[in-house]
Amino acid sequence: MTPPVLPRFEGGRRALLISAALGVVGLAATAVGAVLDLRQALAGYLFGFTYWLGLCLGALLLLASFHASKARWPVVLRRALEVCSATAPLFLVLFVPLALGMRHLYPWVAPSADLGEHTLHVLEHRRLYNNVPFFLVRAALYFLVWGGVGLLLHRWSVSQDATGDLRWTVWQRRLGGGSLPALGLTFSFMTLDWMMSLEATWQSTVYAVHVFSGAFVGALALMIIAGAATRDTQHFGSLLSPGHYHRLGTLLFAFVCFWAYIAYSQLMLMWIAGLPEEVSWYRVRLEGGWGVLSLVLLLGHFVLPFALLLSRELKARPRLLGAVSLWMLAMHAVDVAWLLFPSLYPEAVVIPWTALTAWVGVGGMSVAAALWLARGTYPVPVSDPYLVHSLQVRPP
Amino acid sequence: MSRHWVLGEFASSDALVAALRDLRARGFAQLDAHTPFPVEETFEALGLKRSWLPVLTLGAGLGGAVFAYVTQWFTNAVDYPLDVGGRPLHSVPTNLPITFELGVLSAALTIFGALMVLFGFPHVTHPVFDVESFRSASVDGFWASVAVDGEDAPKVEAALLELGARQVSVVEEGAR
Repeated sequence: MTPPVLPRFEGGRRALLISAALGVVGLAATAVGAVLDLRQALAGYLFGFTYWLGLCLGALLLLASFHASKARWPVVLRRALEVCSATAPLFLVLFVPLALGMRHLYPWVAPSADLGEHTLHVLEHRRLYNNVPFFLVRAALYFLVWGGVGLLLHRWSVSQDATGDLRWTVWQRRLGGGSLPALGLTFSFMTLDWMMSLEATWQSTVYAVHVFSGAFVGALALMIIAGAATRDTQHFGSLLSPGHYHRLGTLLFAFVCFWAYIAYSQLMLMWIAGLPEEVSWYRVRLEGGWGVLSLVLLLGHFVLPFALLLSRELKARPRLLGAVSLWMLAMHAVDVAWLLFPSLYPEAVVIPWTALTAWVGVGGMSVAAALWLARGTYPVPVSDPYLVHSLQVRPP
Repeated sequence: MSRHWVLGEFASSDALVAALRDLRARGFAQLDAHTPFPVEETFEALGLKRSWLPVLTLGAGLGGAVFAYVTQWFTNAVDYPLDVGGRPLHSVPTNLPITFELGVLSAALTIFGALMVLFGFPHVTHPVFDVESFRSASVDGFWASVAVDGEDAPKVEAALLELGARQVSVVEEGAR
């Protein structure tokens, strides 16, 4: 074993404290909001929670896919992905407010008579799946899968740093590839349970894929930003070449297109079928105030990034690609808001101020957890057998 | 004056890239490289410009998409309006699949056709393949080729040998 030349990551102390402080302030402000208006605060909190959980799970799915495909070029990025994935258990703690306040958000928990006879009948029919105990058991199962896979992949990779034992590579690949079906299923059911069931009866079979594609775009954008932001430090950003950015940019481009394809497919199928129980979801989002948000998404989440990411030069430049990625993270917030808030407030455009405080609160906590995990370990998997290969990646 | 190609074989990709840079510095513009495997540095050493094919493809794709959309709008909403279940005659979501598909088709066919033109399609061979030793370009030889007028050929031959070419040949257009 050659001794690693890179120093361990010891910085980030200030960033950690700032994010943790922001997290506490944000969550405290959301708690104040809960005293003023419980339902609005929970709606805002659900937004912040699903946004950051999506990034965490997007990173986990990206990491597992890299292991499944035995990819060698992204080894330099892997520690950053592992750190993001391993924050999954934090969201178990952050899930508690939602579990406590679920009756204020989800119409199926305690259906009111205003919903009408037909809706009540449908909800009664779904009682076998949508009931509080089973909902909580499922949530526990999701966190078990995400936390288990995320923590193990991180721990095994860190173990390899010390010894360089190739056994860890084999184990990571087995777990990464083998857990993909479980990760895909838990992610899908999570979106149905925590996001789609805000609607009393509406359902869509591509809802989970829509959420996934947005989260995947977000996770890729996060990696690009982390790399570009640490270019002049001793963290992993200094080891990324234009080749890495080009590949990440190409993946970002692909999943921006995939997101648009999925979002459009759902719209087109429901438009053609024209069934009353399906079109209600789009009538809320296309007519009236929410329509503006739909237009922003069409232009900002697809047309603009599509046009920009066509350029090969842009994708190979960390600064420009980082700027596009920041834009995508903002658009991802619009996407999550567009999925959640019209379901909660179909009558008028309402985006509670607690959405911002919860976003800052949950985000501060997640970033602090990721930095805490990153401190003391190497910024890249230094003993990975394919690290050298990854360092030699060149643009096409 | 007929066109000549002066070919020089080099032992390694590094020697080839160095020779190409030197030839370009000496003012020879019409250079080419033939190697057994892609050598990325040659693109830069040859001073190749970005191909205009991507721009052409984008234009063709957008043109096809616009054409498809306008055709659907014109036939469905203007020329032959047909009420199907009370849906709007000009319906954006249902027009998009054909718009997308014709856009992709136009782009793909444009790439295919433009490459045929760029390759000089009716010609399926090139005079350099007449040189028996040029076969090493598929095995272990790194060849530089310089296109010049006949009277300049000796000068290029000398330059290639000076740059360390293992062997040098000259082929003439239409000699066979």
